[in-house]
Amino acid sequence: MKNSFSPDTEGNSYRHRHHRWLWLAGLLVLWELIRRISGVNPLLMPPLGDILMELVHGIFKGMLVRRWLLSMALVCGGLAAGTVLAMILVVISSTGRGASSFLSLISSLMHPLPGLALLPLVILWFGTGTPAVLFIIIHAVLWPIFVNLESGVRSLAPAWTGYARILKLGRWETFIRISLPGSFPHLISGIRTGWARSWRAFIAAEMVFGAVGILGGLGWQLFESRVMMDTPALYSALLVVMLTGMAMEEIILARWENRVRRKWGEPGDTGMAAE
Amino acid sequence: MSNRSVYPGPAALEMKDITRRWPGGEPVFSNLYLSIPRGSICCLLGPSGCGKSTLLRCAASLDTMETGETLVSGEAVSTPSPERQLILQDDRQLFPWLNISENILFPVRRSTAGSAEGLLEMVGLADSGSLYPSQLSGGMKQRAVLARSLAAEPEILLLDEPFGALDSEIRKRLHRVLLDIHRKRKLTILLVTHDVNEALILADTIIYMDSSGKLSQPEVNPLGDERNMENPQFFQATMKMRKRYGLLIG
Repeated sequence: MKNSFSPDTEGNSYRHRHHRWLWLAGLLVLWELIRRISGVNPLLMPPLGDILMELVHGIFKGMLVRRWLLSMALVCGGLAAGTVLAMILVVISSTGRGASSFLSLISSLMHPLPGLALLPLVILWFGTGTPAVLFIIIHAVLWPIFVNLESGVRSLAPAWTGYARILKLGRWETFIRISLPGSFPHLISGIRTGWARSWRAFIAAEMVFGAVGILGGLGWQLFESRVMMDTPALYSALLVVMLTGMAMEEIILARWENRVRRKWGEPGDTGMAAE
Repeated sequence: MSNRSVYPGPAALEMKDITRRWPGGEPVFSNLYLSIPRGSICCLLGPSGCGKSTLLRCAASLDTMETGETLVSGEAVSTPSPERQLILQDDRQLFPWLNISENILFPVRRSTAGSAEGLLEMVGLADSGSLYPSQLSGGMKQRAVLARSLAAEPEILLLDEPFGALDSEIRKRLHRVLLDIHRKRKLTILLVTHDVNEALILADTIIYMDSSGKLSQPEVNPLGDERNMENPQFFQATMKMRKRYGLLIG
């Protein structure tokens, strides 16, 4: 009998993450080397020190932290709303073949549609404020989570669904007690994909719509830095966008998924979720 | 061979004139009659693919029948219910997101910690309540499934080759667990197997289903209360049964 969850996978995953941070440090060193050797205009490729100074200044004296918090709040709020909506759609989809086929068609049409392609319509419907950005985030999140969750519900072990029938569980009770937890690994995969899509969509939407609220988020920070030709600030904001995306993916979501998969006795996944 | 397998006395489970067809239209079995007395263990013995499992799923009302009806304690039933618990050979019956205690108490709406402990002890898993299914061996999983079925306080246990994938030592241990539970709970058990030895160890009565889906008359276990492989008559009884039904099984 095994008394612990696969320690080898844990070790490999740790080494994998460790290597990624080393590569990142190597890239920063390479940046500085190329800049110094090529003698490129510092406006195009500012010194690493200037970028880091701008980053530290933005964190302690500027508005970077507040803008980061606003961005995270909006994306996480959209992610939560999209997840709940996807769950509702999956329950509707399980009511019958008609509903399932209709929602399958809608998800096939909407899933490949980039949020930015909807921008002209979204501006007409919601204007350019927070509701418009939230709509874009929810659109980015909803379809990958719906597709993954529905696939999870469809691939539930027949013994579980049979047991729900034996216990005479109703539709909602079956969903809450068996289908949802039973498709949890699929749900997390959907959330990973949804997170990546929504983070990209939010940054892009804010650069098109303008600041969300009075302060604006990281997208607005990028836009503002470009207009002011403040390239160290532009690069520092880009660094925050990239590191946030990577940290969320590597530290929170991938670990969460691996932990669930190991608990289930499935091999841990260290790769990115498919889109 | 006939289509009728009838016991005298009150039946806990009766299946009357049942017909089930394969998707192509060929009958799996047709117009079967089966009756299982209350509190007995009945083994349905037969070769692989003869329709035993389908019959069991019909008894649980998980499969629809073209004709006929299922009666539990004389009342017609058409939908599954917790009183008829089905246990399969499937390795994925437990819920992997719940620990063993939570799995066992899944059918119970309001429970106490004590009720899980009692059931865990009954199936010999007293120290395993906090483990997850992925941490258990195949035999331990089947014991946990058995405990979960008992938590629903069923009248009838329907077992579809539940010990088929286990090695012989674990299987022997689980036979003892099942017989012990049957003695304590007075359950009616219909067990499907293709293993003659298993049928002789567990069953009060044995019914044979042939490859065309026909049933034999129920046969009382010739070993009486001495149902174990150490009984000198065991080998003889096995050979007799194989010869009678032309068995190349188990």
